[in-house]
Amino acid sequence: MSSVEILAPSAGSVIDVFVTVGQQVAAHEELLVIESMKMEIPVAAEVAGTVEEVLVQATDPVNNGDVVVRINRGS
Amino acid sequence: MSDERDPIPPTGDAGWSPELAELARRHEFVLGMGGTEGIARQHANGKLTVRERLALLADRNSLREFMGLMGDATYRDLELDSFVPRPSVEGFCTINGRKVVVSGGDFTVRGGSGGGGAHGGLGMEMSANRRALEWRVPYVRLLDSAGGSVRHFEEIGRTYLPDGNSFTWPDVRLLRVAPVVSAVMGSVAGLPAVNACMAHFNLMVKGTSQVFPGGPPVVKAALGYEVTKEELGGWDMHVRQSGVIDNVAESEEEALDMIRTFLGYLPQNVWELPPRSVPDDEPERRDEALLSLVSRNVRRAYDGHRAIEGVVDRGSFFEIGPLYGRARITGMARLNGYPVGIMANNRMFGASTDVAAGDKIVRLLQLCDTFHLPVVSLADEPGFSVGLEAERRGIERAGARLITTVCDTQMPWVTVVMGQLYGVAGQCHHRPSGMFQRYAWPSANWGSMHIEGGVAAAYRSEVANAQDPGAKLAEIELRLKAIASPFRTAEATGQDIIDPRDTRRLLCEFVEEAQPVLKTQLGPTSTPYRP
Repeated sequence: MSSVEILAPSAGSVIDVFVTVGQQVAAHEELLVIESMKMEIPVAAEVAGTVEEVLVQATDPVNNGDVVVRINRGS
Repeated sequence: MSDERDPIPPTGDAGWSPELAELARRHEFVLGMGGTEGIARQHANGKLTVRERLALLADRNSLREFMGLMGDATYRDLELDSFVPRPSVEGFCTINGRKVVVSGGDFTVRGGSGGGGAHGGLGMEMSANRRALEWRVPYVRLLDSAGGSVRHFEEIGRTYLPDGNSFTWPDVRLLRVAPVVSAVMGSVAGLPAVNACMAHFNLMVKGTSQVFPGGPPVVKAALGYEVTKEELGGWDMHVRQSGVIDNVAESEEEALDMIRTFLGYLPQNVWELPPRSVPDDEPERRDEALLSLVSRNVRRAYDGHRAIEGVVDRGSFFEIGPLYGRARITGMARLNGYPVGIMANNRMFGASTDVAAGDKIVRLLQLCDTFHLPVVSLADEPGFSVGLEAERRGIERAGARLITTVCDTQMPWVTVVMGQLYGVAGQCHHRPSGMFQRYAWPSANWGSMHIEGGVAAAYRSEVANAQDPGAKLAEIELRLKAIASPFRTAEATGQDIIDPRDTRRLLCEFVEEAQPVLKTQLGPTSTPYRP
């Protein structure tokens, strides 16, 4: 059992969140999108696993390096 | 007739054994550095000693020290009593089998600070930077010293004019002759702080190294406020905010490793070609992911690193300045074993060229021009940054510097237009002279300015006088976008458009073709490297 933290790659605001707690995700699957400097920046799962926690929702501001999602890689 | 003669028989030491014993004793003092207490303090501060660092940096048993007997001695009855070595260790060594000059500050001796009574003058041996210059070999500085100290004034009973350029001029010349790396391994102030930047690449260690002309006590005296040395000159200040230092290492071991890696892309000096590695990746490899990298939605970001990884030899990319000016990725890589400089716009950070990104580009281009590496530009350029912050930092002068550098270089250059290419920043992905090749992906689009925004300016009266200005604007934009297809440009100019998956193969071919051209460019460049 190990939990992987997915970090916001830059400061901005969350436009859309595609996953909910308990959902299975594949590696590189898109989890959410952040708008920053007029760009839509996708945030993808670095590993496959189960979404353990979603710490943001649409319109939330985020800072560079904030934890936005935790994924459990399973045992 | 034979040249063979009997060997000269050993005839004893002719009475020189006391001198040999003294030499050994002096060596012992030198290896003891600033003494056990100073060494313990260095370790307690989470730092290695200069000799431990050199053991990690240099190939085994390759260090050949020079000026190693310099220091402060005391005598009793004309016999050597004690000896404190000078606060640095310098010498030749090899790194991956290649000769370099290395100079390491020794913080265990008086905090690495100058000192040392009445040394120098006539008969002084050649300095480390001079030797690197005259031997035409790379120079590595392991900086760990606090610069000058007013204590020194008291020792010599006078002050002196700050004529440091008398021994810094070889550092300036060396930047045009051989690769130079500065590693900041401790708190570094004064001339050593500036020497951190007299290099083609520099780095520091997270948490244990800081850079400033004057530290917290000097700031307090001059400006009246308290600041920690980490806040003032730590990695966050210099690797993220100021760009004074290119890279940060998590440990000293990693820092020394980075030096070895960086030097591996460069030749010994400007009269040689960069060394080709044994190719370990297929030049024909087609990365399928390149096809979907650039979205039709121009606001959709992707990581520019992905583009670089998709074209260079696997695992060969070494990023320079990864935390500064992040709209542009810059670094070194290999294509079919040949070292290249490579850069890519990064939409994850807006992609548009700001002053910080411009600084990085200028330094990469100068580096490649000086040491004869082809340059690869993976372009997705929205243009120079606009807005109040860009103006405050002087984006126009940065642009002028960038154009000047681009036009002054001569190394072979290949640009791949992956997405956007707009404005004067777009112009800086092109060089009108020398061996220059450009490819475009079908996703490419370009212009002297963007259609959005540009229409409102160029068709102002038509839009204003229309019955429905909004609809008119949209109609004109649609009309213009239809003619923005790269194929329309190709019809007129011959621009080559390629399948993104063929990029690696074409870049490998370009770099192969560049080799004979690079050979004709060996030697110093007409535009000297500026740090």
